[in-house]
Formats: sequence, C-alpha cells, structure tokens
Amino acid sequence: MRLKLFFSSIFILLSSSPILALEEPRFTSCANPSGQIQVSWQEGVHGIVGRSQTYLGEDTVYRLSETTLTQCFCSDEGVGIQTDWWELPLEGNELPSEASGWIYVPDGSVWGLAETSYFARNTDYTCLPESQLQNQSEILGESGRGGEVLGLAATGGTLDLILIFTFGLWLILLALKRLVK
Amino acid sequence: MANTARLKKTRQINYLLLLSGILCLMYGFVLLMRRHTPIEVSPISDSPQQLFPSTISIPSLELILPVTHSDLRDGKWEISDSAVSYLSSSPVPGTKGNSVLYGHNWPSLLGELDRIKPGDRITVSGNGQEVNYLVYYVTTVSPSDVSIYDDTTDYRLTLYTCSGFMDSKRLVVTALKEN
Repeated sequence: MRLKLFFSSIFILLSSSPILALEEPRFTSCANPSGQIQVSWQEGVHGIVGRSQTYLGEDTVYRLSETTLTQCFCSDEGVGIQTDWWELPLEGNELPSEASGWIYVPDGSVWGLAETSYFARNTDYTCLPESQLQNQSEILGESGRGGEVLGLAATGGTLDLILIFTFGLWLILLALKRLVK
Repeated sequence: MANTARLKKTRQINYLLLLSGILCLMYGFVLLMRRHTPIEVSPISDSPQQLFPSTISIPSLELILPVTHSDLRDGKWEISDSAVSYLSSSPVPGTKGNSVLYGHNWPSLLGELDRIKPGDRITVSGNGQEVNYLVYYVTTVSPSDVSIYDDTTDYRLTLYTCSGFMDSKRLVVTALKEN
C-alpha cells in the first residue's frame, strides 16, 4: 500500500503543472527581439531595476505592445540582462507575484518610461558586446514563422527515461512482493 | 484442485510482471546507452550529392556532429536521435536570415552546449562549403518562446536544445556569420 502511494506521488509530481491565476503577456527573447526600438544607447553607465550595481554597456528598449516593453542590456564584460516591462496599474487588476520574479515599480518615469506603475522582471544571459562584432546586424523582428507552432521541439526525453525506469522498478517490486507472500 | 490451479495462475502472472519489469529496465538502459554513445561523423566529402549542411563543429567544445535535414510536420518538429537537426524551412546557413538547428541535450549530441560562450566559433559545412559563425548570445527561454526562430535580416544561426529541470527550458545559442 505504501509502495503504491509512493509511486503514485511520484507520478502526480512529475505530471502536474502549476496553475497560473494570472495570464502574463508574451515577451520575446533578446536573442531575437521584435517590436519598435523605443530607445538605444551604444555605451554608458546603466542601472537595472531590482539590482543595486550599475553597469557599463549598451542598452536597447523595444516596444512590444501598448503595455509591454523589453529592455536588452549587454555590458562591456558580456553580462546580459533582459528586463521585461509590463505596464499594469494596481487598481482592479490581478497582480503578478514576486515568486515568479516580478518587481513592482510604482513610477516608471524614474526609468524613462510612462508615469504609471509597472512590473518588471529580469532574466540573465551572456552576450558579446556589439562593439566586438565584425558585422553590424539589423534585426527584423516584424515578420516571422512563430505563428505556425505553439512551442519549440522537446529535445530532452529525461521524463520519458525516468518514467520507464520507475515503471520497470515498480513492476519488479510488485512481482517480488506477490511471490514472497 | 481449484486452489492449485488458481495458485499456478497467480504464480504465472507474478513471473510475467517480473519479466515485464526486467524488460522495461533493459529498454531504459538501451536508451541511456544510446544517449552516451559518441556519434561518428562521416568523412567530409566534396561530392556534389552531399547536402549542406551535413556537419556542425564547435571547436571550443571539441564537438563535431552530423546534421540531418528536418522540418515541421503537422505542427510537430522532426528530430533525430543520431544527429543535429537543421530546420530545412529556415534559410540555408550562410544565406540571409535565421538558420535554425536543434538537437537532443544528450551527451552524444548537444549535452555540452551549455559550456559555449559568446565569442566561440561555430562552423557548419558540407558539399564542399564551410560557413563560420561567431556566438554573440547565449540565453535560456521557455519552450513557448518561438520568437527565437523568427526570420531576421542578418546572417545568423540559432542553435538550441533542452535545458533546466526536467527539460522545462530551452538553451538558445545565437551566432552571427563571420565576414
């Protein structure tokens, strides 16, 4: 009985997915950003929301929609930070949680945005500063193939492997338990 | 009499369960071995019959892997167990646009891709051609972020594989063609 409960728990744990109360808007990756460039700095000292230190590097902000922007920063040392900005007034709205990485910004004008409240979320990446690139590239971002598929290919299979081993072990233990009885 | 027959049947079921369990484990080990077995790349030939790309190499990771041509079928990505997949509906590497390659995060394929750094070189070759790219961006995205394979006006290569806990994320490497 305890064994059944154990394997059932493993199965439920692996197959369950978190229920999100709030639907977050889609933000594209700085690897291939879309939207209109709102502002761009090739160099300078920059602050990042939620981080106490300042950085030297290049920064570009893209307008994705009326309420969303993506900021792509790359420092001279190759430290990359993507900041997703979501304009969301506090009143009458379900709010994103700090647990999912969102930082509340009461006044976006401090960061060069509109004078309203925002939620911001940072994601780290590594980058090569554009000054080190041999060819300057222009990102299109306006047309794409994204609408054809719902997601990127699953190239792992770790879950499959775990399930096969778990199921095999369960069958063996069940058989041995019945034989011993 | 009836009891003996029932006992015999129960024992047979138990042995069947035991055998099924052992076969399951053996299958699991076969899959595990396949993930860890180094893949041999066929010698690069100048034959015009060879497709391009047919090989991808990343010297900083000491990686040379075969490339197979794959595509989206009914919204599903074809994927190979023994090669990196080139999305053949994306631009041919070396031409304008975003050429997309992807593969399993197995030790025998792109399992080491998380060690790549901006500034590393990626070379795709085949059919007597060779194109070099310089990595300029390494990031992790969610599987639903399909923007990484949107087309562009530059000459880029996007390479990705699974990452994160239970393969819940995608590791994306973006590289620009070297002059």
